[in-house]
Amino acid sequence: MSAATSPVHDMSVAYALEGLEGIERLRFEGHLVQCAECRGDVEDVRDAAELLSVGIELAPPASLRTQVEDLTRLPVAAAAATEDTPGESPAPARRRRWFGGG
Amino acid sequence: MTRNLPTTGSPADLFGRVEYLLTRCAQRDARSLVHLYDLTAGRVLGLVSRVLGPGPEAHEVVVEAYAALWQGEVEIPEGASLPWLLGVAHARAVARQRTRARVPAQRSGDAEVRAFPPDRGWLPGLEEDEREALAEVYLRGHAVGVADQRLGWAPGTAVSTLHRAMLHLAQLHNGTREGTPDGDRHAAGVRAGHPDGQHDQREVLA
Repeated sequence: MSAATSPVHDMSVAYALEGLEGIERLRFEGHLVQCAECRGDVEDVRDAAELLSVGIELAPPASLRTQVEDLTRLPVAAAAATEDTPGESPAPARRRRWFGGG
Repeated sequence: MTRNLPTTGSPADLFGRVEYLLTRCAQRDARSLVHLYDLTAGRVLGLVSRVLGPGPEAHEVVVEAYAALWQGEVEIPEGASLPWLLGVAHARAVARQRTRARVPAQRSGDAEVRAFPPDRGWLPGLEEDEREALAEVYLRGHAVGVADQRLGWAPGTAVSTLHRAMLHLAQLHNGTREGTPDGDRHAAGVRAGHPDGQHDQREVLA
């Protein structure tokens, strides 16, 4: 694996922050399949991205809460299917190598 | 600041509550969805509103995000908490923003977004270019190539600046940053650490 311009591993942050699109995004996703380190970095950065929305909160209007309450009154067709099939995705027990704890 | 000590009102406490409520939502507990909303909507709306501009479209995406997890459109991974929820909403907002950007008739919305800049106090410990890169990509939803153009940077600069910004944020967050801020020197150190494409940035942070 080689990158023509920037080191491909450096793109984990851009990818994790939704900064890649089109062919660039597809190419990096191809790299992720074979690079566990980058998969870990992407997970770390996605966790850490929570820090980027601290201090920019907005008070939601009351109508939004009503709409969310209304969601619970709607029949959910797809939910039963997902409940019956417990997650089979591997969830590696590692978090925040960049960001403390872990 | 740490998330490892779950005291009342601390981020760890918030993360724990969100994680619990997400688990309950997956089990179809309606009250938990509303509690989850009450606990997180300000954060979610604040973020989505930066990407799309404040107003009805942002409101729509916020409701869509809670609907997606409630209706099973997205699977809630084990251990998911606030970062996951914010990520779901952010990805939707960015997708919407990019679709809108491709439609010329709606480009006027971009001016509205630009009129809603990050606060001066947003990520105060970072370098100005780090803040700019994060604001362009994360808060305004632009792809890195577009960010480079908008900021008048050489291609690839946004990618490397984002990388440096998150490493810098990690250092500030972990309280391990030494000396005066010097992002370029730090980034150079990181790159020098893996000339063969190895991942040594965590050793820098250790």
